[in-house]
Amino acid sequence: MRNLTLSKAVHRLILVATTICILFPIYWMLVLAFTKLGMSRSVEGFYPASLTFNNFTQLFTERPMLRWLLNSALVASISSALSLLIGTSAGYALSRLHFRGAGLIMILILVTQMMPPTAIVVPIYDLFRQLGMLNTIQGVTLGHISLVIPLAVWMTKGYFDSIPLDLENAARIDGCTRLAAFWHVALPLASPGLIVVFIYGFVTSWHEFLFARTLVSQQELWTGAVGLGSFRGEFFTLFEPQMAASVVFSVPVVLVFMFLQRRLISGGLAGGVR
Amino acid sequence: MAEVNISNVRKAYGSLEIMHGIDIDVAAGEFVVLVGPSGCGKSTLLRMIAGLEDISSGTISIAGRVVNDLQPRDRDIAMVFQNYALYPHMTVAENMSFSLRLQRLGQEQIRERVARAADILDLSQLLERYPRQLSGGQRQRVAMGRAIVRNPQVFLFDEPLSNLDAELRVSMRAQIKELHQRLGTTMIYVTHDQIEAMTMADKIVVMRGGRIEQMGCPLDLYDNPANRFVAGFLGSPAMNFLAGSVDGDGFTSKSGVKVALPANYGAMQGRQVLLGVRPEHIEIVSKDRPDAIVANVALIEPTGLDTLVVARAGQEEVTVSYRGRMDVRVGETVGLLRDPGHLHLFDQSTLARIQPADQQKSMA
Repeated sequence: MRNLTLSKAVHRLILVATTICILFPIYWMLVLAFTKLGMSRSVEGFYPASLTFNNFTQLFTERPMLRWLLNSALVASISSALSLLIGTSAGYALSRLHFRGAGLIMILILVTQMMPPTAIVVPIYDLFRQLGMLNTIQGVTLGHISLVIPLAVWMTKGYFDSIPLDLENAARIDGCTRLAAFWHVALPLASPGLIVVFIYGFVTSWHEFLFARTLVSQQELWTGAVGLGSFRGEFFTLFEPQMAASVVFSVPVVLVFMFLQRRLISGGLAGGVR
Repeated sequence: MAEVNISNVRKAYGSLEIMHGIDIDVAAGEFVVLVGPSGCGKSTLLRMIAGLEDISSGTISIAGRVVNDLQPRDRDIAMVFQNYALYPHMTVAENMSFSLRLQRLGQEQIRERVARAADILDLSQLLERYPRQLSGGQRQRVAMGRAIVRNPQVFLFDEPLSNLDAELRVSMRAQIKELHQRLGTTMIYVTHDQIEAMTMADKIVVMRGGRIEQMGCPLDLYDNPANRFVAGFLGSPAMNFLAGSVDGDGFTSKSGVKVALPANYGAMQGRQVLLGVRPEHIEIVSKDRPDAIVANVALIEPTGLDTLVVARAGQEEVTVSYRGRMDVRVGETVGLLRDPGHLHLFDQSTLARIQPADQQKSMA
């Protein structure tokens, strides 16, 4: 009994320590965001000596933070939605249509995911230059789609593989075409997985820095991630406004996740087949 | 209800042919059971009738219309799947009304048809539940309900009872048979369970390796199996087989067990044969009877209704089934007496049944 209690206590201690390790940087971001400009190095405790909202107001008055956020929202929404659309179509086809070379296609898709983005950003830059897509929102969006689609195809294929084919066969006998069976049966059942793919695409695009920084040079077309980098100068970094910008930049992702997580219901397939 | 005609249907994957020219005629309103061991092609054939599998050659007709190139939804069929295949995100009512909603029937008509099917299958109290909230038997009834609301020309059942426990299987078996009697719709039913086949079918089609071994009324197949496979597949416990040859006026097994043959087996002197006797056609008698085969009791399995006795005569093992009670013990020496009217002989090389001379004459 004593061993059990000790084991539980150690278990909890490890959990608490891990949670603190994860949450402390976020807490520290908040502390610095509410600290007066230039005072971050003089913070002595675990909380600011005096609170200020100036860092936040300056973001919107002295820098185009709202524009950056809107750019990020536009790029992340469109790229994640298109990645989901293309990934779902490809994943469903690879799951349901058995054709020669399907396995090879899956491996090739995976290989593209193994390439580090730094290795492909230069050819993409050159390609987009020739296509006249540098310094455009479309260019960044397309770049982000290329990052998200490979995993989206793999993930959606996995979700569709887990849905028994007989459910769609039953729908086809009940009066559906193949497309209608996909729409009425496969898609609703895969929706928790597809939401995960959307969140993954949104978060990847929202946080992405390399492509957004390389493919766009005009400040009004920057995304939030590039905007955050602009607080770091050659000789000094404006930590406090940067942390305030980080807080503002984090909020939409958290809101998207909170909104969608209610739809991440597990066990949706239960009872359909034995 | 409609007739289904399957004519010279073949199925091949590349150069590998798995269905070798199937011909079956199902009369309108008939209950046909496709039965056979795993991998014999019975489910594939059913899915070909449903349109879920392409056929390589031949024709399938439903109500006189060739349906080879028709989509499943255009064949006017309904199918009950082995794994139920209920839509997990829909309630029982939504599952049952799905096809009717696709047909864009009026709300009132849909409600009425679902209510009628639910009433037949005793599902009225479960209409608002989801499949995950139902037991196995209830799910199976919903799957049947989903099929009957459509009022199709043909019902297809793909091993619908194989996931149920023994007791439920028996009651569902009776329910399906009753449903057939009530609706009178043509039904094609796939199972690997020969008891299900025997009890439910108007006509049984025994399949093996993508071929039809025999087709006919259940009792006709049981009493007159066309070959050793059918003889061994139908019946539980299975038919006893002894390998040997026709010798004088009887049969002598390889280990020397002699069995007298009726005269109507004609002149088959020296022919290598398999002797088949069903367990219920062997009687346990005193070992002292001159016409009895002497055997040792190796195993006794009382089931309540029947008692199965496994006895060894030389190297041959024979299963005997009898009703009632008998004081027989393991290790005891008994006499076995076969019923001469129920002997089957099969050719050892072709495994086809050898017809007694009088039957050959009557067939000729």
